[in-house]
Amino acid sequence: MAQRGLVRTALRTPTGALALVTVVLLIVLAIVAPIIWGDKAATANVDHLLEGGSAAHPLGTDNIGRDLLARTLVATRLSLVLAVLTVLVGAGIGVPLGALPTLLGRRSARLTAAVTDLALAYPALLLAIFLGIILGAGPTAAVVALGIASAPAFARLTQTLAASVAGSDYVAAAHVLGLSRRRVLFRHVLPNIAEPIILNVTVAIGYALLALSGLSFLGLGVQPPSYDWGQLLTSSLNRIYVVPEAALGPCVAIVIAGLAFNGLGEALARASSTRSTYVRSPVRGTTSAFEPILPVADQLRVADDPVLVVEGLTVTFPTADGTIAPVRGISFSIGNGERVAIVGESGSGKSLTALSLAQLVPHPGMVRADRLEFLGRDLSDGTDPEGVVGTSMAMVFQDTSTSLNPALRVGTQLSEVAEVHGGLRRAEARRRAVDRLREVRLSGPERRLRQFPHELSGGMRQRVMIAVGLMGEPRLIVADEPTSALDVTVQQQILRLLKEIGDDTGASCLLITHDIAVATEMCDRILVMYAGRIVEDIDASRLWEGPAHPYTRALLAAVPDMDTDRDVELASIPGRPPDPADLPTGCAFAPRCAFATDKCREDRPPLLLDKTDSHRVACWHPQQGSVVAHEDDRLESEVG
Amino acid sequence: MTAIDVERVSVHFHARAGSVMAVDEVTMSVPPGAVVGLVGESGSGKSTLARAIVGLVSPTSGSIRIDGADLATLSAGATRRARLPVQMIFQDPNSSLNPRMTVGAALSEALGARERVGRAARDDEVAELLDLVTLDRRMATAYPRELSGGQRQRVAIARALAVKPDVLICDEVTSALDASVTGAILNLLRDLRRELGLSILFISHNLAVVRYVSDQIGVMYLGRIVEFAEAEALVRSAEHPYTRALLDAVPRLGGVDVEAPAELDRDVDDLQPPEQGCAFLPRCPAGPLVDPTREICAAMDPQAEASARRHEAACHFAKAES
Amino acid sequence: MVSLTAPARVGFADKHPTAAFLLRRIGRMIILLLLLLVLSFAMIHLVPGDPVRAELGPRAPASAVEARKAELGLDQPIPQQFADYVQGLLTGDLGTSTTLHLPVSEVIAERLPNSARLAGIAFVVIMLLSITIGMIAAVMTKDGRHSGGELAFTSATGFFATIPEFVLGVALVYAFGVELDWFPVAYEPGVAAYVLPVAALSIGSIAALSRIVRVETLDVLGADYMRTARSKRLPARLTYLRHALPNMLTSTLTLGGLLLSGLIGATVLVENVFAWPGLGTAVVDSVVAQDYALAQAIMVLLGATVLIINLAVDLIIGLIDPRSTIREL
Repeated sequence: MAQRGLVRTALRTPTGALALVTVVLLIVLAIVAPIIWGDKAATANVDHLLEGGSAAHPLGTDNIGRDLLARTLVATRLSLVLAVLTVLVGAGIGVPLGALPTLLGRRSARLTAAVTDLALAYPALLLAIFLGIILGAGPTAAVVALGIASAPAFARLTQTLAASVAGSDYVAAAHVLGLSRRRVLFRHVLPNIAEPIILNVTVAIGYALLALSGLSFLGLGVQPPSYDWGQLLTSSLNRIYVVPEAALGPCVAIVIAGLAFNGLGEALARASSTRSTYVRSPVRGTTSAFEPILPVADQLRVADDPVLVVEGLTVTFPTADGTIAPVRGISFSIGNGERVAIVGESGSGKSLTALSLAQLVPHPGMVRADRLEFLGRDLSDGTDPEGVVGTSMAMVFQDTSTSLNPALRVGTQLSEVAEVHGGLRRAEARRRAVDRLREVRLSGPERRLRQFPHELSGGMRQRVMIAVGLMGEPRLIVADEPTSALDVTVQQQILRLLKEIGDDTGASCLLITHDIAVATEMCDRILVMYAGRIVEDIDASRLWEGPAHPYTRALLAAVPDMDTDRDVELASIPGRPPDPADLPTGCAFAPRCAFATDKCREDRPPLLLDKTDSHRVACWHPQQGSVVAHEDDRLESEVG
Repeated sequence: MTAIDVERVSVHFHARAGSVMAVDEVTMSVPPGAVVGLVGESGSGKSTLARAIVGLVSPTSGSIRIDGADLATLSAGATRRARLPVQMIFQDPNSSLNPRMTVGAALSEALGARERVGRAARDDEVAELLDLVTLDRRMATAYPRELSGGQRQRVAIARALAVKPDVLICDEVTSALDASVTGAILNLLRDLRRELGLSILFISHNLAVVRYVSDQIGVMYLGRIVEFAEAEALVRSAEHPYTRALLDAVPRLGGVDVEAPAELDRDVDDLQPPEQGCAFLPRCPAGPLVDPTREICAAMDPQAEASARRHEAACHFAKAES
Repeated sequence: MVSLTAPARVGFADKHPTAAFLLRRIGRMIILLLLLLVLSFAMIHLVPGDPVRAELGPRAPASAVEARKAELGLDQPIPQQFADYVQGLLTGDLGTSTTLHLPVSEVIAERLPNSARLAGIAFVVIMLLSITIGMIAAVMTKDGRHSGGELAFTSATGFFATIPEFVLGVALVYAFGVELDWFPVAYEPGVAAYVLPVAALSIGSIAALSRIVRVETLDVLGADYMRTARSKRLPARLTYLRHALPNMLTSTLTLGGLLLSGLIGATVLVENVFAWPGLGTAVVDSVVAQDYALAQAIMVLLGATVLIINLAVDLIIGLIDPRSTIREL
């Protein structure tokens, strides 16, 4: 059963184990304490009235001589039972209420919201007082009041969970399959919302316990002769100066119980979140350890007037199983005004490469390079004393909805660059901002300055991001999947814009993309990355004649473009890209390569220049010939 | 064999920001055994149309006929039976499978939707389904979180195939997958179509993929079908300005920068179709913004009936150019 | 299944979102306020038994009971009573306390300042300290730094957040009333008397809130727009104050609103621990002693305070957060 696995996972942490043990102990105590010590707790002993701690009565006695330690232990049952009842009331009201909108539709959502707001508006205490007046002060009023007060939280949680589950595709698929509503509810919806609700119930018991003891303390909860911890505390409070240990017992009991339930709830929550995410844990046991950076015999032809030179760039991340290196010793250069694309699938390391250039790799990632020069300045140690990155490197990110600050106006986000780096005054900076917005062809630039990012469409926001980069005088524009989230017609405009800006300002461009067709349209040269390494460095125009690396060839053959022969089956690459934590020795592509030999599996091929001196391949068996199967020509590839 | 006929279907949403006409008087059909592609950008309504066909969304007006039977006239039980041969596969491999059910359990449940199949027989059928989508039989005991995106999509396809459908509606099924895996899924769909005689309604924003798999293609813009033709005819000689813009915008491997018709930079704040006139007007290079004499575009909304019998384009000034 | 409703015309709410928002919120508060009045009025009538007889005792003659009832207006029809009740509230005539034999309004006027000062000081202390501590903790533990410190922070705050205010109050009374004699443990004029009650009120909430502030701050610091700000190489001051802080505002305000409402309940408890002459002790005593006039009046006052605070927080957030009017349902 899923629940057992959850508990077991929670037990792995020390706090989780401790909390669980304590909770179990409390439950046991609740059951057996009245049986074992019930009599002692009720026995009046006139000879020992209001005593302090002693061997016979460690916590002293109360006003009719009853042993307080025994009473504290026996009170566990009532305290716990009332807390559980409270949560049952709260969840019993809240969970169905929260499930209503999913079951009944939009209208009832408003009703649920209204009822929950109503209940939220009045603090639990006032509700308890109100009910205490009507029903008479006592545990019933307290439980009902606190239950009602905790219902909104359950309702809100259930509503959110149910809505997200109901909107998921597997529920939609169940509907399309024609499964009955009942079956969908019990087999698909409930199991997926049960876990978080159970977690919350556990924590809620803790809070209910605390709140109930508070009410009893005030005299609004449990009434004598019944007693729970709160009631015990209030009766010993006035003696605290003389016999402090009388108050000690209930205090400690309350705190321990609260901590135990809260701790258990938190541990279960942590265990649950790790189990429900679609994260594939790396396969253990096979070469997951950090692969040392062997001196790589990569060759590099540096352009004449390079804007960027990178040699041996490596990015590492420490993980629980050792260090992983998503980028492993890559070398490339970008010339003045040159447009270079890095093409790769997910896990190839292309985004991290771009981030490392701008020194934006998130902690705890570490960047190392033998050589990292931007505009002739050495950035390999991670510092940027002259601040070239801020003035001359423009970054354009993928997700336009999160890359711009939602709380600031567009104008502020533009002009601050000029104010900080260009030393411009506010008015001048704003003028430049309008200018740049015009350059990126955003309509109504003056009006845009005052708008917030969420008022613009995705394409417009991306133009703003480019404009931000243009506020300085960039020599290199690094664009990380700038159009992946945009419609194709908008993508075309943005790519054209980037091209024009490059032409106008002479800036170079590094474009990161997963779409090789975009790379060929936009760029002069293409770097293909696989498993953290550059496997091919080829001029875009030569792609047509045929790339050399089997991965590049397979990629071209696998993706249909507008001229692909519709009668020919698409190639596909067997297997999947390797996990950075689980890299094979030798060439990372060998397991999926049709041309792999033993040498490929043992020795990692370096990136070498070919005869033309402008094309680099990292392969022991580079291929030849065109790959793209078009309706006009069909060429076979030959083994090189 | 089942055909799907959609006639003047509209789907109208009432959202917070106002009301949205997601699908606007769409007429089209999926003939038996054919692959019909539906391509459009965000806000085009293609996904909404698909969901209306399978019953996840109720159309505000118009009729949907499956195998000749108008769904609106059927009882609830009959509707369910009529809908069963039309199954759908979704985009996001991360949410298309119940995280708490094993692959085998999910497939077994789908098998149960068709008819009463005994326990023992179910296990065999589950294995057969996995074979059909070229997955290892041992995956029946795996949970979705242990599978890759491509594998999850195959399981979703297997689940749809469990009820022996006649029509598969594929809603952006390859958009979330890596390039190296896309080919495998597309090949699988082609094979299934050949082996099982399925019809497919293939929805995607990726025109290259749609062109590759489809016999006929419909182009959607703001809830309308603006052009409908045989796949090759559409690509070679598109008539609607939007289709032409779309074709032009698709990146080409040859790196050939096709000269674009004067494309107006789009900066439309909101995507609501206008009260009257053509919805594409604000961006159209063939309309009054370029040539002021073409006032008809602002006055009259060009309608087209999407039919495979002829090449239809909803435009007053459509032209065919190769 | 998504259900559709009939297409709506573009209405007032779409053309004037801010005004519509204000009206909706204020309207809702008025409804809740009315409900509060109705409930507190109904309270007396829902009490089983006869409150007048309970007040006068079982041996009072029936005529005295009748006379008292007429005096209190309890012989009128219910709607009339309610009207009188509301009128009384508006004019300040809240009846007479049966236990203290004073006009209720006088009792409240005397005790309200004590409670308000206590809650007010505690609120300021809690907000200042939890925001500061939470943000510092976030900056220090960002990106997994100081993982030992993070554990210590989480454990300490978890511990103190779980201790209820009245237990903490009792512990403080013991520590400073019995062992050390630094601060007074009961009410007396002067600032020193406030120290322990405020501490009892604050410590738990500071612990709980600083955890939340830390998580919120980490979320903001890890957001994509902060990466963009870093890519601009802005000075640290600008990055934090201009880019991070405004995104924290909404959640901080929401927290503040919840805190203030929650303080009302906590203040009642703490007042009872320290025998504080405020509304908290008054309301509990009055309930126990069945002094309904006093209890009712305090309930209305506290309830109305909570509603007004919630409204103020909602309005402020709605007006300053650029995205909230769009999210409004």
